[in-house]
Amino acid sequence: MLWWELWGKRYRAEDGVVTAWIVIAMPVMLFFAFGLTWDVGGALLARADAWDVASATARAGAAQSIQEGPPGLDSAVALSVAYEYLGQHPDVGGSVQIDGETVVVDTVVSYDAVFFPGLSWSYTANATAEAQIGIRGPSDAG
Amino acid sequence: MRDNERGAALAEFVITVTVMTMGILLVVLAWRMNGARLEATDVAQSASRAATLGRDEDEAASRGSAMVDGLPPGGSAECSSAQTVVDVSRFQEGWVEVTVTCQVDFTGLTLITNSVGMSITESWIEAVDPARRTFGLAGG
Repeated sequence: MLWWELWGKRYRAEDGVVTAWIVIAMPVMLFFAFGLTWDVGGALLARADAWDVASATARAGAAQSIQEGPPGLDSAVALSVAYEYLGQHPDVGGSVQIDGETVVVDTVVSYDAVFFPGLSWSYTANATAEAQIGIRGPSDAG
Repeated sequence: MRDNERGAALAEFVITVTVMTMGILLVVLAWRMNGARLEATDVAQSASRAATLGRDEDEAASRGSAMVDGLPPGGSAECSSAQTVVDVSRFQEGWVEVTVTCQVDFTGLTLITNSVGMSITESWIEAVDPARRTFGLAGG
């Protein structure tokens, strides 16, 4: 076989290679782009959730003032309500501590990627809320 | 270029542009769906916090609904329309829950004349200040 016949044979064997590459690679790239956007967005939402739940838990706890007796934060009730609130967000884990009149909440949220199995993000957040006891007017706010 | 490859570049260009355009649309679609989830959560949070300022169930429900009326969704970029449910059935136990269902409209995105979209539902629970329930303090 002459060299130009060999060259022509090799050349013909590559017919449609670029098209095949596009047909295979493009859907993979599409899937990757869509999945990345979806999962990064989901991870950011999970991060926002960690902060939001921490803040709301701290607020829920700090609102529990003593109903009868000297004014102040009812630590036991505050702790119980804060954990009850936290329990209503099953995707969010965390802990609550009472420090004087302040409720301190730490939360942790994990997000498992939908399109990239095995990839996972974990976010922590911290929030505090101080119990305000008594009736305050606008002049007390500052 | 050989005779049997005539038009191959054009065919590949058409395929590539079509697939690339679909890719861009899919990324925008995913982005908008995440935006809608964020917006629905945001509205549910605002409405539930507003509802906690009510002295009783009725006032809580009306405060929550009033907050939703003044906010997107209901014509925003992400939510073309939204349904909101303010659940005050557990108000006396100290909880208010707001559920927002956001309709995401992809009609403009896909250039399809028929309405194409999907709905995203997010809810949020907020604790009611016991002093408001006990002493009927007016909300701010």
